[in-house]
Amino acid sequence: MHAHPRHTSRYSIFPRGFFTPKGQMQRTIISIDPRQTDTAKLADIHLMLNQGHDYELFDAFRTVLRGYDIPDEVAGIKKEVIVKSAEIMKKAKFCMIFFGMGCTHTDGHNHNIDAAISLTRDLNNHTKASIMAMRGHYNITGPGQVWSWQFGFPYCIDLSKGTHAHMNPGETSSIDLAMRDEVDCFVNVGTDAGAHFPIPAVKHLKKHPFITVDPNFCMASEISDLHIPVRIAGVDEPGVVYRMDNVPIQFRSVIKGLPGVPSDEELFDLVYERMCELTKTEPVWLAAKADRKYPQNPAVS
Amino acid sequence: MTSGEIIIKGGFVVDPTRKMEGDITDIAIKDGKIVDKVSSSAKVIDAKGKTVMAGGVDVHAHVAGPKVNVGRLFRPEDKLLSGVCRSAMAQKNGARMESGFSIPSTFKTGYDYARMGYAFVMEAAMPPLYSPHIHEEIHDTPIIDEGALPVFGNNWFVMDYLKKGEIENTAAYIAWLLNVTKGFGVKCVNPGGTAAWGWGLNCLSLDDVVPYFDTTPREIITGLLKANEYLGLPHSMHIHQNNLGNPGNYQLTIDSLKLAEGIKTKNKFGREQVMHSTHLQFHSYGGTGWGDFESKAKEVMDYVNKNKAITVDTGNVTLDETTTMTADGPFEHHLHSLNHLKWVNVDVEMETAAGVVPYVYDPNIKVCDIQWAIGLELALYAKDMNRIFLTTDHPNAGPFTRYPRVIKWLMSKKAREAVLDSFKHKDKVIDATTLHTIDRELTLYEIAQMTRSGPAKCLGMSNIYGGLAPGMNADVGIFDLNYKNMPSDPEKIEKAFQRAACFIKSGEIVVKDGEVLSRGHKKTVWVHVNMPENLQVKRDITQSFTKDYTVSLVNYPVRDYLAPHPFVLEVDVEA
Ligand SMILES: [Zn+2]
Repeated sequence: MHAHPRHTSRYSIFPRGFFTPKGQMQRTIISIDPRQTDTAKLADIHLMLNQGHDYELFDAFRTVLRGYDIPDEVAGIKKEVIVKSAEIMKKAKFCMIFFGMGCTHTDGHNHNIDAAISLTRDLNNHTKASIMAMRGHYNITGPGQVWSWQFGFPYCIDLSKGTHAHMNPGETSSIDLAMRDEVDCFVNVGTDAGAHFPIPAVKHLKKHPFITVDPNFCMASEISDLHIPVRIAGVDEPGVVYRMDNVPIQFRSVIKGLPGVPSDEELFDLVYERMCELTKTEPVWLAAKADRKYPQNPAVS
Repeated sequence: MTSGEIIIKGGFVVDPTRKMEGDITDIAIKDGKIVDKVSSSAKVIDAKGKTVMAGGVDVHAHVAGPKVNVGRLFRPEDKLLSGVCRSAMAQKNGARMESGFSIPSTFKTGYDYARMGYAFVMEAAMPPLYSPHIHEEIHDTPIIDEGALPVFGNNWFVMDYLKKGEIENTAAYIAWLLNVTKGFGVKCVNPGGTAAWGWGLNCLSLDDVVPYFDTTPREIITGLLKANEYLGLPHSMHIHQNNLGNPGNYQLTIDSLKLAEGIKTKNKFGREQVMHSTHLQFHSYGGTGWGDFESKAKEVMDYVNKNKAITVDTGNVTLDETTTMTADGPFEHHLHSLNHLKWVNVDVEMETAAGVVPYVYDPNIKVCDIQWAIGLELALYAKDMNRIFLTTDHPNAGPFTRYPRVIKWLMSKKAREAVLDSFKHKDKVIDATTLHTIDRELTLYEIAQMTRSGPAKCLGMSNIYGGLAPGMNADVGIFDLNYKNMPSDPEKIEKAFQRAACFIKSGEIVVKDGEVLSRGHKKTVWVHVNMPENLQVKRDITQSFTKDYTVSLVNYPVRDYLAPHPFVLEVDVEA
């Protein structure tokens, strides 16, 4: 309800679907949350589990689905409620599991999702089931897609070897690099490292040049040595944004950008061009940009 | 396009479009096209003792788009098999890093195809809703020209029109979708089965009824064949049949192929077939289970050989660790239940679905070896090599980088026997196949038919790709093979096709001695249909987008800037 305000109305709970013309009336909502959230209040069943016991609960669902017995209480939830919930999932025509950081950033981390994915797989032996991450930050799916097709990895990409890309979360994430003091220049693009990074990591980064590329003032821009404002895709710049379910949406610009403010793409082209000048190399990949000139008002056929 | 003139001198030219079987002749190039002659200032490339062919044409590979990218994303381990590190020289040339084996990055895809002398690749399954993503990836794939086939076989509009027998409306919808997605032709994957997968079900015979939509695979296939010819598209309907990959499916395969009988081809692009049946290897299985699993390649090819209205591609198993991916959602679920490796499923609203599962074709497993033999048998039983094309259904039966290996097996009985001898269950494989009884070894001319002239004609582009006649695209591969004195060691054949001695794409030298020199002049090829407005279909589309889609109609068409190097084939349909 709050983290993704449009989600319930456009995608998950309320919309009228092709096979669910009555919208919410034809859906059963189960909320798994230790807190009494507004989403939980909307739900038909609220499983108010003990904090940090997600893994056990998913495991209990799987055990029940496979026809085995479980203890009278698991993760603070009564057996009858677990059995009833599992039965609802099994009997649903289509079961969709959405998960967020409450699940991935508590004890157990990825193992919680491992259990939830396994539950999804098991459910597919009975009905149709799917699972999707509720990700934050607008176009976070976009770079994941682009980097996957360019390098084969969605994030934490180390290109410093020059020969091939390398990824190892825990070693090659920006926070890992900062904490080990391996960075002598930090460029913060489209996120707010000032607000989201641990303080010790930011302290390391601040020892060296700190650059922020962002349309807005933010905590990172406040502590930056250089803040470059850019246009916003979908506001004063058209572009493709990948929706949380990976569907590409072609955004249009709705207002004219301020004069002199470049788009991200234009800015990085300028930086690349200058780098090629300094290293005396041919800027061959600029051409890729040149022939992608965005029309001011992209025609819709 | 470079205006520089080039002349390739003294090579053995193998060009089925002009019946050239190793004739020693020069190939002249100007302004990106093959020409009759060039001036004396033309750059000379000495091809003496080497074989010269047109750029390769791949009729079916999964190289760009959401499911390919899921494969890359969920298989970091595939990067361990990349096999290339960017050299200092490549870095200096401006070449990008390369990664991946069965699901290579876009850059590696372009470079690897170019190294093998391929000029055109068809992305075989484009979910329409995701078409902007496919075009973004195609843009990031250097050198090679590409097109993409949108999937129609489980599309809710199509099923609705075909249930009512409305061919004209189906055709109008297809025309609209090709135009807005910048698509090339009509792909049909597991007709009805993928829609049934919405309920966790499948369609395993031609007359299984699709739940809710109340139509059948038979109606969908026949309807799409007719709609395709109504429009007169360059390519025919391109089908991945029902019941893929299951023992005993060959009878259904032949029955489905027979649906092409009685449908007449109608087009201005020189195409002769009305149906292209893809990765036939997966559809030529006998037996009642994995125990008595056997080859029915002979039976299937006997039918294909008789029916000129059909073209096929092989889908050769290459005995590698690879990644399977298809719009056949129920099949991937089934495969996952067999091998228990990781599985991704996606359902695309109103249109299609897809699944991805890694797969290891282990030479120590009997079934994999039989699959390997079936793929080769198909080509070796073929009578008209212009109607059967070499594919691995990349990456489903193996990565496209194994084409040279498949060529080696097709050209050398010795190479085939060496593989057969290495199998743990050799006797069982021999019992279930006939490959060991086949002496046929394909010639370079036949390989050129399977990889050049044949697929180009099948796609309706025989005047552009697949040959070396003046006026055609100057896509020319030079391979280190002496036509008159072929090596006795089959490994040398594989090596020659893996790394072209020289590859010229659109009149520019892009590969020399296997090293990529340029990012080339890639083009995205699509079909634009001009036909009178169909008010019924227009209303249906508007209504459906207002009510059912999660994307609005104005945001659906792929914008021009996403495909900045267009090569558009115009099709005019009279009222
Ligand atoms: Zn395929």
